[in-house]
Amino acid sequence: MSTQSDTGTAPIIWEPTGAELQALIERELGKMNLTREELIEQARKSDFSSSDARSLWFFVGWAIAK
Amino acid sequence: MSQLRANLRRLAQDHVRHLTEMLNQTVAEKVHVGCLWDHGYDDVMGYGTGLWPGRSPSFVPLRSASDHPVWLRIAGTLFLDPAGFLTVRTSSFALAAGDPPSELLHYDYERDKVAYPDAHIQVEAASGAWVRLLTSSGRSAAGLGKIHLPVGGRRYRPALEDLMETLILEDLVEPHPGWAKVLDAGRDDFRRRQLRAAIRNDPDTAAAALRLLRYGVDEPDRSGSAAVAMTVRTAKTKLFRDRKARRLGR
Repeated sequence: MSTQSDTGTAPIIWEPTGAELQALIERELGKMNLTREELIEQARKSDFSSSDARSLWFFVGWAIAK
Repeated sequence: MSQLRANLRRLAQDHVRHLTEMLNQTVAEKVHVGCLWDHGYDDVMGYGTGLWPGRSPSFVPLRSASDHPVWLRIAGTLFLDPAGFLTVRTSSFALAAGDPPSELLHYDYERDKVAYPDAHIQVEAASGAWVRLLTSSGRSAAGLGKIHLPVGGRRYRPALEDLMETLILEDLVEPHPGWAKVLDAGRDDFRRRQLRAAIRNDPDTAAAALRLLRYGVDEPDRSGSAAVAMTVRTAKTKLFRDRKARRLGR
């Protein structure tokens, strides 16, 4: 579900279910050929294999490490 | 919805609305920064550029000053600190060029990061001097982009506005008219919030500085719960520093 007011400047808010968010994470990890454990290890070392990997971690790292 | 969650949602919306407006009034057109609201977590929200349902943050175009595309990607998380102030837990600002976007640099912030500076910049670049130093130190010759260059720490790190201003002043992007006023306002707001946080975390230094300026400053009551809170905060800070020092082998 997402919400956006009609003001034109109100932010888009994505409100996924837990399953939808985990599906996004799995899909993004799959594109990068990474496992959760590999991304968690990259984050621990602050040494990411790609810009996309770093972005995903900064965005939903809490849900990846769940 | 709890009051905490309602406040986080409202403040996070304000934050990304500000980012969206700032970008579109200075260096971009019709880009947006969105929020991720995960009902499974009470205390954190994700945010990022180009965020749509089912998608993670993406690079969005900036107004390049040439025919070579320039891109920005923001990704991060927000939470409320114990006093109820909106706080950045993580943020990553990545600049890229070309089509498809190839990263030039990123400016990352991770609160309480262990073993690396909380706020740092990593630049995708190379130089002969760096190659010689890195290889003689047993590092990869291509490792300059892996070096975490510190930028001011938690309280004194640059704002996103500083990064956008650099792109303008270096003639890499074409700004909208009136850009300077917008960036100045956003940067001033960021720095005042950081200053207020710094004062909350070190009120004795702030009081001493005010007394030097001949302000009258009354000591708060530090008996009871206030004193306990201060002691706990000091102990936690020391614990974190000790842990970080051990990780760094100091």
